Amino acid sequence: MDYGLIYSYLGAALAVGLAGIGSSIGIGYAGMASSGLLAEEPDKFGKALILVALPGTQGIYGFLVCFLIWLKLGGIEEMTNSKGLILLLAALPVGIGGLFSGIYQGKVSAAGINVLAKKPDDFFTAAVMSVLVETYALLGLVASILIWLKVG
Amino acid sequence: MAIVEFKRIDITAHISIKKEIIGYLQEIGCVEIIASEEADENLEYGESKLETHIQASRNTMQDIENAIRILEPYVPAEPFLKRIQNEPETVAESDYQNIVKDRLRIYKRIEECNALHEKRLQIEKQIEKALREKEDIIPWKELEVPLDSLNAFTHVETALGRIPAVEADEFQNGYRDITAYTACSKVYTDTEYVYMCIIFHKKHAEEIQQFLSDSQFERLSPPETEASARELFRTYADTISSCKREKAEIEKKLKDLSADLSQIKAIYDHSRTIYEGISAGRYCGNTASVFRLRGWIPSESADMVLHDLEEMGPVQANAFTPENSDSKPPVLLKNRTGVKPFELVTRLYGLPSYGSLDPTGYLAPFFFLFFGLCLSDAAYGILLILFTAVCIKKLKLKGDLYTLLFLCGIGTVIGGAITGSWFGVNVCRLPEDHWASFLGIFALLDPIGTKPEPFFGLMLEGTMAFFYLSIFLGYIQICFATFLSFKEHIRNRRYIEGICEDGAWLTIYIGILMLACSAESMPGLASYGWTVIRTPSLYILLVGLIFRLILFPLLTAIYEKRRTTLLRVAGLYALSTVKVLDKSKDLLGNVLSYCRLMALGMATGIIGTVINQLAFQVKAIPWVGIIFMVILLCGGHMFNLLINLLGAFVHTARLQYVEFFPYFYEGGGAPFRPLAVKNKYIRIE
Repeated sequence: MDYGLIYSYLGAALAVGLAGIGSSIGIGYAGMASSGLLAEEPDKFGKALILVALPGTQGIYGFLVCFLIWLKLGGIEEMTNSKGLILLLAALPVGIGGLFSGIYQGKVSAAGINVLAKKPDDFFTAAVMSVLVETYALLGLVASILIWLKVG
Repeated sequence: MAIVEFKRIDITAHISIKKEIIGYLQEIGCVEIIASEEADENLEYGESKLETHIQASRNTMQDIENAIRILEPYVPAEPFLKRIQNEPETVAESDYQNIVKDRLRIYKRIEECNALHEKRLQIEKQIEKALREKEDIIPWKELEVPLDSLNAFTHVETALGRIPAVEADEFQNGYRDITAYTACSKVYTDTEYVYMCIIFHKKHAEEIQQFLSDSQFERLSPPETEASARELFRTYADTISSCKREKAEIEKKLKDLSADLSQIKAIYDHSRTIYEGISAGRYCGNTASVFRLRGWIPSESADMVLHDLEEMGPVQANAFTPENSDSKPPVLLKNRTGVKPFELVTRLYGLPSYGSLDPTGYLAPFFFLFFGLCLSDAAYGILLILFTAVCIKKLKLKGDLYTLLFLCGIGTVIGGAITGSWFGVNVCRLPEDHWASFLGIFALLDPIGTKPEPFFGLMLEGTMAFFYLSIFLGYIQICFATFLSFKEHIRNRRYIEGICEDGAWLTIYIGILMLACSAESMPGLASYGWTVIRTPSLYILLVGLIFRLILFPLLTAIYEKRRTTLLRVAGLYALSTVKVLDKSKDLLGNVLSYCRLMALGMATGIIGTVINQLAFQVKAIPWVGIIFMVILLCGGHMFNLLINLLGAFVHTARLQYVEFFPYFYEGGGAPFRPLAVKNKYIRIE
């Protein structure tokens, strides 16, 4: 029985689903922290928004891989079990990496709101800390793409 | 590409011209006063009452700042553009002098403003209190009796309170069961509570108190006055309206005062200059009639300042380079125009210590190139160049960041051209007759290519080619860092470390590189005959290893200042071996860290490609497809540009800090903070 297509779509779903969970939790943490800040100082909204939006990139990367897998399925003539499994595995780096790095990037962003509250001039350093966590989601994206490139 | 040379300047002068000298120093703004006391028992620091003066001056500044903050809302807001430019207001010299002469009048206005603000705060508190009391008295409005009479009965007691509406009926029934000699009437009802007035005979007091405390009845006590509740309510309402009237009058007066806001701002800057001048006196050593000031001045300005000081009167000033380094001069970086914006990167990490190397000029070309490779899209580079050019020229925004981004935009165009990526479109994959396919001549590699293509003589897949390119560039930067360390050691006359450590490592690195290039697994290079360099490379490697492993410990042992024993020499050899192994591990880690250039470059390319594909799919929707496509393209590419811009900056900077600096950089420099006129609100012409 040929489950190739099922594995591929499962991969696409996991890529966007897991990474989306990571981003949601991350943005949730950062958003909660920033609401506390904005209750006292609403004019810091712009900078707070940047910090809150930073963990959102993992979801985008997950969606990208989902879209790429979906595109590739249109182009493969013969789908076999192994090709399907490889596409499923291709989704995992960005999915799992995005899940955990999104959560932790959210925690770092939430802590960065502290910096914004006490020392608004050093806001950029807080953003830099947050971007450093994102490195691993990026490497997950690149790994997913490298595996995806080899299929078909 | 340097750290500015500083000289110590010591000024000794008669106390009568102290103010004049400090004023002059503030004007020229190129002397930093040494903030510590000399160990000299003849000098007294902090003349009497100096701290009081400083405190008074600071209080004046604080008052003026408060006044500015209070009056600012009354002035019409500036247009958005002016606000982000944050330009100080230009004031003519003569006008400024007039304002300063007039300052007593302005101080009076400032005092008035602060007093009005205080009064306004008090009135607001009163209004709040009155509103609260009014809220509290509303339930009892219907009671006609004077409130203090409620507790003045002989045989009867009253209890005023409230109970949640849902419990009211049950309460009333329960209450009636206790005794008939009582009255309980509802006075007021609102959505949540029913307010009641209970009257009972004192002999039933205990049972009723017990019942009340068992139930949900909450006792309330309105204020005990002669007036009735209704009269109180009216009084509170009158208080509130008269307070509001007073507040409106105060607001009107403040609005009138706000006409003087620009003069008040000028006075703020004036008083700040005075404050800084007085504070500088803290570190002047005094005798009965003479004071002494010590500071740091850039060498090139020293002569001019000495000349000016001599002309001022009874002054003795000299500039010299101090013999011992008990206090280090501050650090001021000076670089060419093209390199200056990169000082931002150095400053973010920390200034180098005085007398060491300024890394800005050396990191600039690497930062430029690596940023371009990370944000690898030529069209994004063009957008970045245009945006920053507009910010600098038209909007006149100040700051090194914009110039840095402008230069990095040029780097991005180069990086994008090398990877053949223009708005996410890979120009190498365009058909031959496409108008844009000529851009493919700049492309060296295809970052997501899977077919082996020629790359500098090697047949490599695009991804592998990008990987090798990143690693190779990283290797070059590490070799350069070792070379800088070698140069520094030679300059500081530490020849053994310079030649036998850094020189040896450089030789080893070159040897490894040549060995790698001559490997048979590099089919392209092998076919050009590069295998010929294998034997020389092995010799070079051997020479480097001999210098580092054998000569370095030996020479260190011979030339060091303690007694050399065999045990010591053996220890040095062991240490040397361990260090070489450690450094090799570091080398591997550091070089591989540069593969993030490839990761970031690939990510930008892929995201751009996917945005284009998505937009193409969306275009197929009838009628509105084109509109969605345009929105998706604009939004998507803007998102891609912003996210990868941030990532490119952070990671390129990180590579400099973690992989480049540790080889030669010495930190701990204090920034140069001269005594100067620091006008916040105005600029004097």
